[in-house]
Amino acid sequence: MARNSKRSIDTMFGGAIAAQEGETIAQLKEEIENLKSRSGQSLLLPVSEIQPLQLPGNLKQPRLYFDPIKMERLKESIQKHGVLEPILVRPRKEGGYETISGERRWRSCCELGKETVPGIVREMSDETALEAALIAHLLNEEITAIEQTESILSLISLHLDTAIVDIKSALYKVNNSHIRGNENSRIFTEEELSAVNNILGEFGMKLSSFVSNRLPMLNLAPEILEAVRAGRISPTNAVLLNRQKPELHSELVEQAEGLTKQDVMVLVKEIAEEHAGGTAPPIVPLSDRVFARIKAIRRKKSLLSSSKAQKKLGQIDRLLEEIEQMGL
Amino acid sequence: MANSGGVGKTTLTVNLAYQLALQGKTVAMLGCDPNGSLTLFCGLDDPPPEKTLDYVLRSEFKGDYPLVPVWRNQIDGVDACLGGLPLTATTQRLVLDKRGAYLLADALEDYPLPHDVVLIDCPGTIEQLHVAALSASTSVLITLKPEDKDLDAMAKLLEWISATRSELRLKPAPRVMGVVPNGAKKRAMHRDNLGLSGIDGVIGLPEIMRQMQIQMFPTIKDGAYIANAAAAGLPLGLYRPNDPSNRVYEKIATAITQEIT
Repeated sequence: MARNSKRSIDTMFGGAIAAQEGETIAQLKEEIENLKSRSGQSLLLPVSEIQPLQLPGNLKQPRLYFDPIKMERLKESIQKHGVLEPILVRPRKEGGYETISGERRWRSCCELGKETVPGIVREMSDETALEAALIAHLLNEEITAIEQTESILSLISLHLDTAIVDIKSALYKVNNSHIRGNENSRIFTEEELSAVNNILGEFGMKLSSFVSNRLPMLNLAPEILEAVRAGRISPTNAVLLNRQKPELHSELVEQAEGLTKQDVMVLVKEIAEEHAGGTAPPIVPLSDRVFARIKAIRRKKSLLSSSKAQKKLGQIDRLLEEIEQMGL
Repeated sequence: MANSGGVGKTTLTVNLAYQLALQGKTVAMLGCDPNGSLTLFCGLDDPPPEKTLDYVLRSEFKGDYPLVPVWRNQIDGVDACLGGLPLTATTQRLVLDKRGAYLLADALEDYPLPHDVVLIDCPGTIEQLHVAALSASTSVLITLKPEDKDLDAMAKLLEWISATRSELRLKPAPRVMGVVPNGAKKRAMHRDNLGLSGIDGVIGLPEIMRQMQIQMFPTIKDGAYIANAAAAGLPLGLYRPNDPSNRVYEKIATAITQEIT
């Protein structure tokens, strides 16, 4: 951009940059999806020369949970049929390889004492490796909605080069301003917003549902989170339970297992009422409550003289008048 | 490719062909521009319609490329399949043809050229021939002048390339090999756009290209000799062998050689 230019170079290239970024996601996604069918082109890599992906500290890797039961099942399958889908690795400068996709399969092979694992080798920069690892993670059918949400956030953070916390708060703000019908009030630039929508779209999601259904999953209380990871309650139900008081969590988790969303909503209401019941004051007749209120408010002269209060008093007056009429 | 006229596309084509030939490669230049500038820059006469690239994109084409030798008395290995006015009709045919977008790629796949490198010289506005050229390419080189209007047009070209190669599902997708700034003058706007003025807040093309991971080749400065060489129908390397711009063309040619080995 020259010093007198009206249109900045960022504006000029915004569309091109967004298009390029959208493309890499689609390409990597397709490439990873096609790995299965490319088993013929894979090499047999020595298991001992492979290690997990190593990235500099500023790039956050997808978190992998190695569920022992699932790992056992995977090992059994590998023992029986071998590794059906090649793993994806990148070569290390120092020699050897790092896993991009297929860490579980590689670990299983290690534990089974296999010497080689079929793999496809691709040169990748740290950024591309992370992106590919995140996409591979997202394409894995076994990941939970929480892991998926974390990986999508990391992917957005990588693309917009913004910290995950800032992305989260910006997403909430954008969604709120959409709900209120405001324009995207300069929270994201137009290109950033289109990049976000692009990424979400690639994984079949919309911004509004991502914000209202997915993001709350990341703030779950430890007890609820554990239940979700163990597959005892669904992530949607977890979000419902998480809104309740912490002291009710363990009871709720126990009873919510296997229930539908509607059932959980009923359950939440019941348990909340049950607990409130013990401490609630004895029920006072409605008419007594109204008289007590009027008495209490009578002394607040300045408050009552305000125009807002006057308006409300007018409404009460009319309502009382209606009640009087009923007696006639 | 470029998304504006007069920014050195044909100049780059002929000079790269010459430099590649110096490096022992055989080169075919395909003129995709209805203005036929490649013909002029090669010092040739306008060919009859059946001797242009239009014929290659016809159903009756059977691999008999209408190639003409170029600068043969001075260097071996360079041929051209010329463009020109008949290509205006080609453009319309490509729109209607079911495989229009892939016709050039199909021709090159069915009847591979024996040359080491094929250089396609595109028109200065994105149109149907660009689609055909893109789907037939492995790499794209972009030229531009360091003017705001060219930068803006180039940004649109890059966006178009991203969208089109995805849409056409090109595998492997052609990649943007680099950008060659051309015709730089001693002007504030050129210096600013090339990131040479060092003023805070003035972002130049090099920074954006770094962000997009696109290589920037050295800038070719404006000079009368480049236009004079073109008028003489010669590459700068033959017209004025000691011109410093030849080093830039040589460098790009070397990058191409590395790409194909």
